[in-house]
Amino acid sequence: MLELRAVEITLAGRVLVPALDARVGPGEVLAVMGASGSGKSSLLAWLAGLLEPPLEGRGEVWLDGRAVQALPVEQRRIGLLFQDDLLFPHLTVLENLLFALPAGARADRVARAEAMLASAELAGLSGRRPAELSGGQRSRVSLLRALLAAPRALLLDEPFSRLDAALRARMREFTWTMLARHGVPAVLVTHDRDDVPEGARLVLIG
Amino acid sequence: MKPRAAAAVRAARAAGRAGVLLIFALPLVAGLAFGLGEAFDPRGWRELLDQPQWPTALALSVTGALASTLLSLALAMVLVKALHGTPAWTRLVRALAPMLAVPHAAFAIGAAWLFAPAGLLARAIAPLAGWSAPPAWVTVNDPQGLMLIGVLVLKETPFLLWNLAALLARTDEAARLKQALAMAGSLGYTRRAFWWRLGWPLVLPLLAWPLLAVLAYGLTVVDVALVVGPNSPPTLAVSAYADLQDGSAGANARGATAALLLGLVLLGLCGLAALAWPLVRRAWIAAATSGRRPAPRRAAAGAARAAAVALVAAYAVVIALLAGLSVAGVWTFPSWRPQVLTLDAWAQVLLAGRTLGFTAALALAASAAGLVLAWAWLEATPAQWDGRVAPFALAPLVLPGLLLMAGLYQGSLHLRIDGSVAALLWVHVLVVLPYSWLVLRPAWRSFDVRLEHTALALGRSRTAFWWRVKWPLLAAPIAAALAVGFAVSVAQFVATQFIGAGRHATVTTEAVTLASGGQRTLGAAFALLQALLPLAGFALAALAARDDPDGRARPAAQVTAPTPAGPPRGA
Repeated sequence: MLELRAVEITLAGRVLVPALDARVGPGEVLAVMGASGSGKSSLLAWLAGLLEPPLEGRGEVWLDGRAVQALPVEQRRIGLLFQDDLLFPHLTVLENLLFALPAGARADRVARAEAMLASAELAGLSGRRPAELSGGQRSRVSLLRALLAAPRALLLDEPFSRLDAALRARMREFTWTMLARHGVPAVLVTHDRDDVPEGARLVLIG
Repeated sequence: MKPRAAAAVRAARAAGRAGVLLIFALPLVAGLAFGLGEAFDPRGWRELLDQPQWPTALALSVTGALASTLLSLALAMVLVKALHGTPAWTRLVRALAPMLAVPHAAFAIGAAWLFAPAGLLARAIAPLAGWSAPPAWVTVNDPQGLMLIGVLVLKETPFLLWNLAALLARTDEAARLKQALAMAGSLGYTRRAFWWRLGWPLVLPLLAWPLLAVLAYGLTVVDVALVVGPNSPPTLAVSAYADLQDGSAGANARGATAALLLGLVLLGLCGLAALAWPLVRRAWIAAATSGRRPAPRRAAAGAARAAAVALVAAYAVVIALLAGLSVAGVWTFPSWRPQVLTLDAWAQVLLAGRTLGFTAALALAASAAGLVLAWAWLEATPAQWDGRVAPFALAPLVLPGLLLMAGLYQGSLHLRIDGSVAALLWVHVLVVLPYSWLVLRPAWRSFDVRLEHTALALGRSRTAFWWRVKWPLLAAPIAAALAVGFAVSVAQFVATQFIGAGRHATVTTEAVTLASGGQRTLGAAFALLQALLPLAGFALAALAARDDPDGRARPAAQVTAPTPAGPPRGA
């Protein structure tokens, strides 16, 4: 469960995102929409622990009953998906996934990563570099990588905006299915009303 | 544009391309041809192999070069990992330009007095240790070459940091790293873990040229080795330098062969590195994808900050020490300050005013010529050519300087121009030119060509556009290129000694000769001058950058535009 309590984003004292309260359950999506410069991405950056001055955030973020807003990014266990897939270009698909998995016996970790790839119809691509994948394949691997780190919440910053129309529809469906299957609460920032899944809570800012 | 005028511009560009390519390539090819020709003389090999000291001398050269390169790289990596993205990194980058402006030889002379048994460090410890006489340490000129390695590490770390700063400040790389850092953080990795697991495998291949330059420099350095390096036996580079300066043909052949041997060793080390890198990378990635997420270590960040402060402080102490030493009369151990102050050394420097004037004039002429040639190349050629010219442009930075200079010296003998000011200037320009090209290139290539089209569409000539628009807008990189070229020329030792045939003294040749001969006070005065001349050049360039016509003052560190090969290096 992800809970936002009176979360506010300001830029040099000017309020961009007014006090926001929300509860997002496992597999649920909180969608945030607003004009460019309204502070949507800054909201995600603050939730992730990546917001930099002059932008500032206030409020509380609770994850599974624990306040995390004071923790550094690497201790929050909040996954990120951006417009770009941000796969590490010098690692293969499998190595990208292994990077996200917790430590353990290598054989078990490889098996988990391969199973995850198979679940996304990406079996057989583990040895390829990101540059050798199509845009849709890269997006799916990026999502799989985020999920393999076992995040307690996932933040999606316009993750479909770089995809063409047909691919975007398939990727939306894939993303919501995977989030529901893994029971991960998510916050989605988007310009596109069609990105918002059915049943998601929608917040308009700016 | 009228057809005839367009044809004239095309012809001028073609002539310019051919001319500049010749200027870049011809001296290199000729220098190497002469150098290699003499080095392949079987007599040279016999003479070298008959010398019982050559294996030790070669081992000192190789271990010194490898150790200084790897230690500099390790220190630079630790500093980047701990400080990049923090205010301390910004402060460190600002301090790099003045640190790099200090020539290697001047730094070595100051460092020698800092670490010598009777030096400042021993005097600082003396009251605690109860010493009334200098300890029986062998620090400077130690037979293992540890002092040489230490000085090279202190000089090369800022050079590598500068290159890394330039790399990390590149818009594309900075954005890529920032996103990768955020992504790694969201996957549970600390900043430190990110650098070791992902950052370095991405960044290190981009650092290949500067690393090669550091390795080549460490292998063939002469001036620093003369001041602080081992002398029984000396490094192979020093031994080769002495042989090449010798009057006998046999010694000359031996020196050329030793220089070639150093070149072959460099080639071999590069080959080994190229073969080893895929294996290292594979092992690195296996470790990086193990899934282990180490806890943050605050002590490591603190130690890195302390190391950065110590690095900057070393330069400040060395410069202050040179100033103090240059006015020291009687200075008995263990007193930390001279009992008698004297301006005798400076009086002698004033008497040798011609040396100072000649150094400055030569450096000004060489930097101006380097600037004009680099400008001609950039104006005459399309950007796509830069990749093709890079090997020629960067070659003087990575080729063993001794071999190249020995070859050029042979060439100057054949042309009967050895010892002439013209030949000396020509060789200084050859060494300066790559730096001018590297400093100017980023700004020149990113210049908005639409401004030129606009000026021409307004009916103004190309000359008017250059004078009134382009050059004023590029004043900062032009000033930086001049300052860097000036510093490079001032720092030349081997080139000046060889091509000048010992007839032309500069502050660098005087400083190294005096310091290696044990004349510490006068040597320190010349070393201080050697350091102050480039610093003055950089200060003037910073002033020019402040008057930037686009109205934005730039910090001093940006005056020497970041380049793939970095700022000046002595030779």
